[in-house]
Amino acid sequence: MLPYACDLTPEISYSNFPLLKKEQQEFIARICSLILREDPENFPTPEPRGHFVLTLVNDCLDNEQRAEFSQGFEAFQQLFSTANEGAFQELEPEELQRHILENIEEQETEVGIFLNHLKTYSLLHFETSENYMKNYLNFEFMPGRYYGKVPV
Amino acid sequence: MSGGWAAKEFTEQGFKTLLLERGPNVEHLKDYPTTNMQPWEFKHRGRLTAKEIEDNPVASRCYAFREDAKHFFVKDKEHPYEQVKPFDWIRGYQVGGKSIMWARQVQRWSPYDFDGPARDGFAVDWPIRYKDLADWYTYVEGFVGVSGNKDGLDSLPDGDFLKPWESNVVEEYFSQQVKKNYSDRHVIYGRCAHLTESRPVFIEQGRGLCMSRRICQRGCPLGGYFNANSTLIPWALKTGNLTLKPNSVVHSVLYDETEQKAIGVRVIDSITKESQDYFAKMIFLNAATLNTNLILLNSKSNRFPNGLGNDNGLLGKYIAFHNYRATISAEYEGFPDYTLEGAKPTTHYVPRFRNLYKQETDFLRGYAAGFEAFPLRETLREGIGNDLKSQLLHTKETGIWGVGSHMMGETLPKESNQVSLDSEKTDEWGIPLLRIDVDYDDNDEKMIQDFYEQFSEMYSKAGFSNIVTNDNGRRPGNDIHEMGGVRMGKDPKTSLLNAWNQMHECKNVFVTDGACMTSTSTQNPSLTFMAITARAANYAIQQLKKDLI
Repeated sequence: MLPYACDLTPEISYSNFPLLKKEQQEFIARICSLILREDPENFPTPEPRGHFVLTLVNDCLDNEQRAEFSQGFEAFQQLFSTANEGAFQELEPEELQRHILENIEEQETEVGIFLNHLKTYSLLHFETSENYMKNYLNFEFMPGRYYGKVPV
Repeated sequence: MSGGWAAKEFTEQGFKTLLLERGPNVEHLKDYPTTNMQPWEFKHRGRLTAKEIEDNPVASRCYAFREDAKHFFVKDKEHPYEQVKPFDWIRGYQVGGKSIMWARQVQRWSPYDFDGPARDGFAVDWPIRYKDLADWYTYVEGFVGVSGNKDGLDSLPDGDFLKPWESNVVEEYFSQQVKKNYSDRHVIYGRCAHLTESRPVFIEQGRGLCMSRRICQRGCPLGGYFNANSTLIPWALKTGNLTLKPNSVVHSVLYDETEQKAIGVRVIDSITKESQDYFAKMIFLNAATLNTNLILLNSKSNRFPNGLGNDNGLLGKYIAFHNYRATISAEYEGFPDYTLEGAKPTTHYVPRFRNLYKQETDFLRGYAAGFEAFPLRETLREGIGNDLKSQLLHTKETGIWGVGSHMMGETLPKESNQVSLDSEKTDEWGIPLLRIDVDYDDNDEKMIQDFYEQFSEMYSKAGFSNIVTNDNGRRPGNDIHEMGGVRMGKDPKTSLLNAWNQMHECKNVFVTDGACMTSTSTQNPSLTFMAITARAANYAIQQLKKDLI
């Protein structure tokens, strides 16, 4: 008799990252949220932050950038094992935040590149939210007017 | 859109007309799938995917080939061509063509443009002058709807304008400064094909006023800007005289040696690949400049072994375009207490001033330029977490204005800038691929340097700071203003078309799209294509009525 198991949990697969496991996706979403916290109540978006960022990483990075992203992600996870902090799923938010802060300014390193891709797309997600565009960037879909001499 | 104009003129005057389009139909309102999508509703927030860029190195260099409008552009892999030298051939294969995604700038050409080749000794003399086209410009503008000011400039004649949008403080300031510092230079409102007021003809077309959405490339549900789909095609269909046949790739024009005229066209169904011949008394070729060249080159017969009407061997030669490589940007701190509200779909415009009245530089001809001014916004994005979010929420205008201009340079038509048919490679429909051999020359390089010098000076005199010039490296073709190859002229030995756009050697074939252009001027050419088409079509109609063709 062969042992078997069926996992019926729905899971999103990203075509260019077929080996990215659900817990890794969730971990990336956590990182994104620490870089720029999601605020669905005040800044709702059509999709969750993690899914948006992974979609952009999957679709908009070219082969070389995707390889860099994967290497950076791998290296970022290695930081915890070398620091004897256990699996990344178990990291406390403060610890994870500390690792992000320590590495995100190093834009030439593998980890820095990885984190900055996440930051770039997290910013894009936030800055294209309806509330931000309308109330902070004065976006109007159909302004129907143009005034060129408006006193501040 | 010139094909739409020909269809309108013929059908309005009672002629049964067949309008062939190689791509699918695009019906106004029905086939604008992204027109009402908000920015946050796009999966990639407007960006292209890496695969789309990799698959479309040419199309993706076009500013409008983005997530919201990419479906209106030809994909590189589906419609290959041969680049002898780098050339971005930007195309829109659908009913309405590129009129859906065009930039909508509609400046008339001036007497100096039609006089140019004869005065300055390049190309050949135009067989027409501005006065021959002036009334047709007015005719076309009345149907299109052009927002503009009457500026009273002989370098950019006024037209039948709808009211303009307001100028902003810096646009007005720069305009005044240029007027003060130069007697021969002007900064005016860029005339654009947008409805700013209503007229009975626009109501009859079913079009509403422009609401400044500035996403015109998606197609406008209001009909606020002019495209063939919202105006010309339905107008022609309404007469009951138009048969519109999409998915019809014109292979060649059929020539009858006994009758010594064209008798129709061979068409390949783009989907079934079946070939069928259609017959007509008269043919207007408006496939957009380079495809019109391709069709004529591929129209071979015993009488015309090198392409229809090509006795002089000049078909496909003297291609020219607009040089859009040079830009300049700067900042201005003069109006910190002012900002903008709303939006408008045009910028300001600096008509050509170089070599206008006489030759004054070591290069021929000149350039026009855009001018725009906008309040600069500062958004810091340092760090992560709450600090980062706080910075985003404190985004603000700085009180400093950004300004910028881009050059629109006239290039000189040369025999060496040409297109031809590949002798071996064919497309999916068995039609030879077009080989494009077009490049910049020294005249263009000198013009770029002059633009940098002149605009740096104009900007400096206006008190602008942080002036930066840039060569954006745009390839020929990326301006999407390619013209020529089937040029008009007075002499059949040196041109293909006469003063009525009629082929010298095949009188019932007319070419009225960009292929007919003898030189390129600096102004956006679409309005001139439309005016030339309306003029030629009405001439052809008179000839038909008199049974002279």
